[in-house]
Amino acid sequence: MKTETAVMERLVQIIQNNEEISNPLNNRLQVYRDMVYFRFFETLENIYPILSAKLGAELMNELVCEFISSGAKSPFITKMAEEFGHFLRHHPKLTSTLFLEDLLWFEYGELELLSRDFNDTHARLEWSQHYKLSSSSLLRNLSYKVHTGEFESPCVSSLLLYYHFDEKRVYFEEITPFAQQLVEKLENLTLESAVSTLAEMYELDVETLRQSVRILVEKWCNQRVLIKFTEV
Amino acid sequence: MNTITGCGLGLRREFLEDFSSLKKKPDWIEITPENWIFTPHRYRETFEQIMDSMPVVAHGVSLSIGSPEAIDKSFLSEIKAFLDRYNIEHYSEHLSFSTLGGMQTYELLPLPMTRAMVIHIGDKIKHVEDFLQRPLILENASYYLTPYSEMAEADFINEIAQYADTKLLLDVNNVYVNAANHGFDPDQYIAQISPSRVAYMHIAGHLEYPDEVLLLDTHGEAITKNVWKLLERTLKKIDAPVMIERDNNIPPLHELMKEYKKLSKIVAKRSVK
Repeated sequence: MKTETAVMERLVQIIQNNEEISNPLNNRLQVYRDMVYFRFFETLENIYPILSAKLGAELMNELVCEFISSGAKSPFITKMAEEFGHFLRHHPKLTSTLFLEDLLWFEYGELELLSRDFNDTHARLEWSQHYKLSSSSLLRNLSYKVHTGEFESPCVSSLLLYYHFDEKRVYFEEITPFAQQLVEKLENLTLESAVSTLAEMYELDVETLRQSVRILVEKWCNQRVLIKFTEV
Repeated sequence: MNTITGCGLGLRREFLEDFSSLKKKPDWIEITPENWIFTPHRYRETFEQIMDSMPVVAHGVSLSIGSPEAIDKSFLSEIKAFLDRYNIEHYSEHLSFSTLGGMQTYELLPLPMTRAMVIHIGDKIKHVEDFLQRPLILENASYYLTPYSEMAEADFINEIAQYADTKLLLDVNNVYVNAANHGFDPDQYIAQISPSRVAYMHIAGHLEYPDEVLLLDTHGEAITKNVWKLLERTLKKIDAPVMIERDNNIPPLHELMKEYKKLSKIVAKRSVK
């Protein structure tokens, strides 16, 4: 298999790298190079449409070619998009693209939620209960509001991505710092205690706060954003 | 192959819902396990209803049987779990390679057609079959160049099938495309394939560039007249189930079902004779 392996290595090297091919219009190596390139490009552009538009066709093309050369490892093509995200995070040409991390999370997050299956049990509001984010939701503190197309100036926000079970789509919702803190506290505290702690922090009346929290937590339970937290 | 007879269709996400509400479904379906291993919530219920209701064949794309390195065991475990979960007996893959040194190209690349490769692939087939606890069916892939060769494609396939005692998935469109691109007679090629080796057959579309030298196996177009004719001639020699494979540029299901009806008529005509 030595000769065969060498032939296959050379073939892949030509396909993955940009070395010149003589008379590419009539060269069958170019057919393979084009097929591989378009497979990667099409997949990545579909998963990262905003990023592709922001980077521009020329740079995106260059980055995809470099990524192909560097080698994707997952046998599942959509997981390759996650590897592309890691590749971009470490790319010297993108160190000044400050919104990159947030945009990668935002765009890949949608695919991640659409690709998952969920076994979480529907929760109901109980004041004595601990809650946590379900597997059908993702929450992140963003430095750039990439979801509203604000890429130039940094602006902190908390963004919730969640899978809508009836519509079978992913929605995003910007949540308040208060709501974000509530989610964090619910893993360690019961809903009751979390409300008391937050009321103290924000110097609010506990009963008034309970009314607002009730509406929010009921909504999130209905959307299956929050599920009961049970110790394993 | 006792679980599938007649005509099949490749199941695609693009028409999953429409497929589930079809009154007259194809005799069997083929699915690509890599596309369903992580079945998303939005498709799961419909997918499982379909899987429970009809015969299914799995047709993989990432096994890379021709790669010099050993097969990725974690990938194989995922495939096995999927096949076991849905009780799928038949698993087919391409005679090609797509991975080298752990790096993926996500394309079916051409193999050197040599005796050493016959043995290499034959041994890997046995390993895969042992691992999966079911036979592996190998498909003749389309190729645009022959990187290194000691034998013709039909001999290469026959030798592998004989060495590993494996069945074949004969893609009639690929035979047509390869014959046009490499200047051999598609009927002679099919005559060389032992009918008893053929587990099932594919038929698909390809792209003809009027000014180009090559036919491209896109699996993204309607089946051409010449491929239909080649299938009719093939069916006179090989009695095996046939299915329509459409991977790209997926049309609405009713359009594919027109092709399916045409296929059924051709196959029925064969059966009458």
